[in-house]
Amino acid sequence: MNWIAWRSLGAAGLLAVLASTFFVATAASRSFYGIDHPVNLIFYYHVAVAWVGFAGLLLAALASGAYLATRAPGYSWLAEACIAVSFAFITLTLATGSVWARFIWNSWWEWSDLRLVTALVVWFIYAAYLVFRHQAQDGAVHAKAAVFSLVAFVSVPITVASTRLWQSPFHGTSLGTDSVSIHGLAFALSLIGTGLVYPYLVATRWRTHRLADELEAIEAQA
Amino acid sequence: MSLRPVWSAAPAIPPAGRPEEAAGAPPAAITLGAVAKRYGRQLALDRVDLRIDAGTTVALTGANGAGKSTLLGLISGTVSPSSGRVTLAGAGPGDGNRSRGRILGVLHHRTMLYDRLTGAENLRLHATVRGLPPARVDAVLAQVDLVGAADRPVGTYSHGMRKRLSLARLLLHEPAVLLLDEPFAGLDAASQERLAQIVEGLRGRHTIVFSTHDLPRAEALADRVLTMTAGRIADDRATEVLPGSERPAPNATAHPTPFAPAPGAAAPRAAVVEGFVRTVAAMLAKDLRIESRARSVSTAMLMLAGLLAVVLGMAFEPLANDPAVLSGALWVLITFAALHGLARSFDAEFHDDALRGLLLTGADPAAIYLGKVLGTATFLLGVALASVGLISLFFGAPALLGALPGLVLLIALAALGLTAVGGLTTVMARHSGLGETLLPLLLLPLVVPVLLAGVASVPVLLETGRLDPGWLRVLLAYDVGMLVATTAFFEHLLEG
Repeated sequence: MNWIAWRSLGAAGLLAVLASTFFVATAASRSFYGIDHPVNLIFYYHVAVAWVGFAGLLLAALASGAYLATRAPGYSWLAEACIAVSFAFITLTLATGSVWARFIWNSWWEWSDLRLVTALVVWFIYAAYLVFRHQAQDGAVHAKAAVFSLVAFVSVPITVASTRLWQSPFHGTSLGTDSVSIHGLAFALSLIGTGLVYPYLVATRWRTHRLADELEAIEAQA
Repeated sequence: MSLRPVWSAAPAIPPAGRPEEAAGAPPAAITLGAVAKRYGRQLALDRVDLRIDAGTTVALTGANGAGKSTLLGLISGTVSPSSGRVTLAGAGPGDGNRSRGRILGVLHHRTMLYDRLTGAENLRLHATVRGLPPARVDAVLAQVDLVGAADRPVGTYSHGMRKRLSLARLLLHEPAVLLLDEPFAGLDAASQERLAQIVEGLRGRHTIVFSTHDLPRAEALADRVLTMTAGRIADDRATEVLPGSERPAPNATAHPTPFAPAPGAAAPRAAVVEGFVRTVAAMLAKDLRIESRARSVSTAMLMLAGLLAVVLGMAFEPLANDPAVLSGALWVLITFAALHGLARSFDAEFHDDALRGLLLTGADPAAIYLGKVLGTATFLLGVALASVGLISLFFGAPALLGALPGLVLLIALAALGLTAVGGLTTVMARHSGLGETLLPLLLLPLVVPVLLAGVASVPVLLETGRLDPGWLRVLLAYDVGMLVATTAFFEHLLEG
């Protein structure tokens, strides 16, 4: 895909999110679990960025595995770009979840909400990846980062299982329950839009790394 | 441009009487085809073509930074070429590490041995990992004239003795090719002469490549002297054989050796499993022996745990009988002790490149890592159980000691998971710009399931006398998942 196509993807994603915002503002119900509050509308963005952000971590693990198998630096940079963008999305997930909790539960943080707790642990795991990636002075940073990414991905389902065992969920699943009425079109547009913006952001970051590599190679030959 | 390592196998050295030999062309032991190596912007080796005949002795000379060590590293496989191809005669197809370990003996600037072990113990460790008979240890100790010092810790050896012991490590498996990186550097005149006599005795039986700044020594020992300048071979000449010299003729048919499997032969599955188990056991025994002698890891962990028990005991005195507080305090001790102990235990493997020495044997890196994990987890288990006593003492909670059988199982499972991931993150932290300060950041988020299982299980154990099966399943799943993942990927962490 050329660069114009990636930009078009990003623009289409942004338009979809804006369209979603229109339906959220005009047609979506503000009532969740019997509580009528405008902050409930944050759901339409909170869930979308969480789903896309976590799905991106799977892509990062696949790219890390591809790097170890092929040693092509492009895969390593793809993993880094996915994790950096997913990290931003999980940060947004935590922030929006915390804001919602402040208004609905009158608390910025609830240890009994296992989705928040799990997201926080995952946030720390991938924060460590990014710190390592940008601090490592070793020539083989790609391989080490790829190993960490794969081990981190193995740990995520066990972390989810352990937090579930640790605490019963404080709030249940939002989708598919009678107490929550979701505007399907608004949610679908938000999810599609976020899903289109994500690859655009990843491609932008990956391209920056690739150009930096090319520049370094040119400087080395000069 | 792909940076994939290119290291290939070639057919075994042809036996005497083959047409090419009859035509006067000796077989090649080492061949480099347009090999280049770049470190970032620095070009260390610039498309070098080289053929070294079997049984010859070649000296590499040149200024510092000319590319001698890089060239030796490329031949030994410790450095991956940016482009080009390195071929070793006698290597089997598709078993790079095993082939290298069998064909090569590599002498580096560092000893690649453990200071806390004696000379004989170090050699026995390498012999065990290689599956060699113990008699080989005595034979090579005699060869390098170290029989009298065999039972002294290597840490007490002089520089010259260390070099000779390193050479003994190389000779254990009678490799076809010896790569010696500046073997005479830093030695006094007498030690240099002693080492030169040993190398002289090896000539003709092995293909020897050594780097040196000592031109007269190069002329005296080598059949051929290569002079390197700025990553290229600027001069390549045969040395003159002085009248009356007893220099042995190159012997291309001296290999393969009696201590190596047939070149290219695939090891039977049972032998691979046996080698894996043998390596794990050797690593575990090595760690236990070093720790029983030095107590450097467990003492440090125990001191830290004791200090924390005192501080937490004072801080939580009003809540001392709350099972949740007892559990929290115990796992704080275990976590801090683990962080401290892991760094010390795994760092010891990098002292004098001892771990790299073991990897150069061609042993399975997964087996080496698993053995190391089991050893470190054993220390951690011991310290954690001592922590139970400390918490029991400073919190006035004898009930903890009453639950000891359950705690042993719980802590053993936790220690295994903590150490499996901890070893991996310790190596990563070591290779980062932040060093040990990065370890908690890398490790703690990954071990949340272990810590949750530990913290949640102790109160249940104290109240019911039984471990919660749900948490046991989490710990088992974590241990299996992490042991498989970390042992499988460990070798990738060692690339540099």
